[in-house]
Amino acid sequence: MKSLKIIGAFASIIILSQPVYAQQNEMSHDGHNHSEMKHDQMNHDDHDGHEGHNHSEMKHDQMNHDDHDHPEMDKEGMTDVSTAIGGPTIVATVNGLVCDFCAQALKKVFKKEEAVKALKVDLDAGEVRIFLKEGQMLSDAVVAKLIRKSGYSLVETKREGGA
Amino acid sequence: MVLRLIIALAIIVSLSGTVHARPVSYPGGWTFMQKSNGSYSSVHAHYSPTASDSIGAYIERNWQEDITFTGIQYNRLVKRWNGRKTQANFYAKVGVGQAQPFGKNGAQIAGFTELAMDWETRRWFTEYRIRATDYADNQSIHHSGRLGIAPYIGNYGDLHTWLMVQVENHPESNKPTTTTPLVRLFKGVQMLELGYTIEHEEWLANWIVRF
Repeated sequence: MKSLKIIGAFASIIILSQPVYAQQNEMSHDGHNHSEMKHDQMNHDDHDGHEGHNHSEMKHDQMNHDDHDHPEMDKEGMTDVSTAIGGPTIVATVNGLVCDFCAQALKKVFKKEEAVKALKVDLDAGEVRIFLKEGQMLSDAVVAKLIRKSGYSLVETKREGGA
Repeated sequence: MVLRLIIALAIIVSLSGTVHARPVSYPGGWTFMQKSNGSYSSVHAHYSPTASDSIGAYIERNWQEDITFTGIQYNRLVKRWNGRKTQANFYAKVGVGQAQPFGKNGAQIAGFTELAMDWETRRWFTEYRIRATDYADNQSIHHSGRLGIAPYIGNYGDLHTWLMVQVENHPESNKPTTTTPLVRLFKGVQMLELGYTIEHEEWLANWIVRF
């Protein structure tokens, strides 16, 4: 019986460890195309391993991306949240936001919307900031529907930047 | 890498547990749940077509009863109450498959059903569930409750920590009521729980990841 338990434990490790690794890689750099991004729009405040070279003289796709993350990058494949700030934005107050799984659900659902450039979830405020692409719009009814589809409920929306 | 090592150690050291976390994900989401304790180990991989349903495979090895269950599990979020700073859920789960009692010939049709209710804020967590199983010659009904507190409140993307106590009741057991203090670590799409069941002197380790 004990040997069965040990075999089971090892099997679990092998099976379970792979998704962790895959997910970590995905969260670092998948979902955005470096070559299509303007390098000077990115936030470099928290980079490590960048001493000794001048960012302004480098092309972004010539840089080595193995050893650093972009902390302000949205990890769900949408545009960098920091560069999206200032554009058309919908601030949605949402009921039921109590954990990271809630935030994850909203990001997964909203990222499928063509009009959405980026999403920022603030659990403290119970708010979701929906950054829209220029010239795109999202009605309150659609916002409410997407939030409901994620499993939560919309309280109210506020619009900024011409959203 | 560090996370992988922690998980590996947790699973080796332990073999105990019950995952008390939402069994339904966002539409199109996949979830992988592993639970382990001295009584049984299980894996449950499910897909959520909507925010109210999920379906997937469930495999359980019951070490105490020497039975392996293999089947399909369906989870239904019957009702969710979204408050300004709270959330409460009522879930129903059902599993159908076959149980293979070790030492006996042939698999038998088996199944289980469970009802679970939880209420949580970002500081407090409570849960109650009742589960009935019919695994070949082994039938049981047991229930459990949990109370948890977060010592600090983190925002999205932070490492969240919960201190919890779980009380379980298995009426047919020689030690019917057990207490398991545990720590829940929660970051992004990953959740890890480590605990220790005092009466049985067994470790608990649960892990959930969502895709």
